[in-house]
Amino acid sequence: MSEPNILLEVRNLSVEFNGFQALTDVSMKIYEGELRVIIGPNGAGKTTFMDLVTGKTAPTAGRILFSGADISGKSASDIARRYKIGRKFQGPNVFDNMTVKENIEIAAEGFESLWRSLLFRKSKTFKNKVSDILRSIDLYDYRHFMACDLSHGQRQWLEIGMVFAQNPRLIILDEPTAGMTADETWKTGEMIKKLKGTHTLIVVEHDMDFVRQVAEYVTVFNYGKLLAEGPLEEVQKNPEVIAVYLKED
Amino acid sequence: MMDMIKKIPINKYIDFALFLFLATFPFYQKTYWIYVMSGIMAYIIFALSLDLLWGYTGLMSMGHSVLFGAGGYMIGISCAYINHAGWVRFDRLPWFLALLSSETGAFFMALLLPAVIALFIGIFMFSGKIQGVFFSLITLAVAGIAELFVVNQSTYTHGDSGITITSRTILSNSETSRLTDFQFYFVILAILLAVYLFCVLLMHSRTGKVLKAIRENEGRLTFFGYKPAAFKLFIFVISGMMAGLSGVLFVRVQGSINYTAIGINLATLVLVWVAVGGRGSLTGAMVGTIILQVAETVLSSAFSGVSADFAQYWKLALGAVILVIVFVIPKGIIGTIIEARQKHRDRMRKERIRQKEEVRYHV
Repeated sequence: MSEPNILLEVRNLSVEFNGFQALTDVSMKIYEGELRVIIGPNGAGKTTFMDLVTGKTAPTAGRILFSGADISGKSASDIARRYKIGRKFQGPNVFDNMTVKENIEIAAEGFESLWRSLLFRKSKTFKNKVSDILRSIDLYDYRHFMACDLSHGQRQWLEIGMVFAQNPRLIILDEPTAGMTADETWKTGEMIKKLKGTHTLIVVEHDMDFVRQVAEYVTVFNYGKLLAEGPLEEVQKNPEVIAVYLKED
Repeated sequence: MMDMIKKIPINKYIDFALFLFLATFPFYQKTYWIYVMSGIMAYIIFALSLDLLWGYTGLMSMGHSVLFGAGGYMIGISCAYINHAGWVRFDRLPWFLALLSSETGAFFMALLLPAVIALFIGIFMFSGKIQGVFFSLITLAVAGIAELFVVNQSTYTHGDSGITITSRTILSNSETSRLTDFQFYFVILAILLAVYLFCVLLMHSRTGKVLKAIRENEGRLTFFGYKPAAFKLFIFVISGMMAGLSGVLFVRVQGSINYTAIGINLATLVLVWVAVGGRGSLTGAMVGTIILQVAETVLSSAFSGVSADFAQYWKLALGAVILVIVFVIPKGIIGTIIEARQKHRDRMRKERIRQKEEVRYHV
């Protein structure tokens, strides 16, 4: 069997904010079709890592390669449009005073430039695509609601749906189950598992039940450094990981 | 069929009623009110232009009058030049105003100049990532500067006396070809309707939704691959041209323009119209303008009817009412109605979803 393609590779990535070293010398590879879960205590640099990959902050050292192309320091809109990396933020980050359907429509790929958006006509395929996404996140009945009138869990799903609509090559989910009930968390896990194999995903999560539900291969961050990496069972037995993170369980 | 009708949002009914009212208004009103309403309709276009920028895109321009006045002054200067007004001391127009020597050229300039001003301010602001209150403050400063500029450039603008024109057509500066108030009312109504339909189409398009998304969460939009600056620049220029157009119409109705039309005075007024009516809906901007402008006309004549000393206090009375409205219903009159309607619909939808789920679990 041939080695799967590397989709995202970071080499010796470091970032510093006013003297605070948020990330130190992180190197990792994400393969195409993989579902990678990143765990780590608060302040371990998980979100900072996401910020670097999606262009929210620029690295002070190191390189980010996305399917061979160097994307370090590129703008967020370039990374989303040209390289197709989609990101769901921590805590729902949606367009509040717009309907659920409008939220999905805005996120849908292919019409991001002003010119294309002016020429845009709603085709039947487009409508079907939006409806399919709404069904897959279980919000079809809520499509005419304002995003701010949804429950917290539904807003999280809405943002996940928006990322799907972007049709990204790499999906980054930052704490997709934060603030969800156990039931909703499980449902989210099933949504994510459905994407396994066809999509490449990076998921940052705190909820260990959820991690066990979806994860195979895990990366552990601590104090801005990569602490451990490997299959979930192996990492769970790693004494260092247990010491910093899993002991609370 | 019933479903189709039910789907039409409430504000579209209000819009329809409003246009019906405007179309029948001159048939039972005296010439004075026809004249007043013509001016108000020009102001409505101005309010719509601000609503696109502030209500939909979230860019609170506190100097939108600059674009209105720029349009108006182009017509004023052109008129004064062509009709050889008494105060005109110059023989030739400077090169950048050369177009004003023809009537069509003046109209063209009245749309072009506001667009160019908006483009420059926009490029400066949006590439520099100036946002929120800083955008408002800079536009406010621009309005102050424009006011001073117009007063100082008295060679062309006749200083603080302003310019008086006589013609009442859109394109002609000649003093003989003059439409009656009644005819001119319908010319303006037709333009207002066209502008309104343009706004409806634009705001229902994908571009309109992107603009709303900029208002809601500009940062998030960049992670979907958008460059909000281009969209903001686009709407600023469009809005500037609309403001210029309303300036043209207003000068043609009023027959005069002075520095108050380009300065902070009018810039504040239009903000109040849109705020009271309800920003973020075209209906709100239109209703707000009509209510406040009619109130102004009625109050000022009522107050001056009491006694001459009392005349200026109408502003105090109107100001108090506006404060109460903005305090009690911060979303504005129409905004509150739309919200109530949306809440009601949400309740109905929730009920339907609940019933559907009950059926699903019982099977």
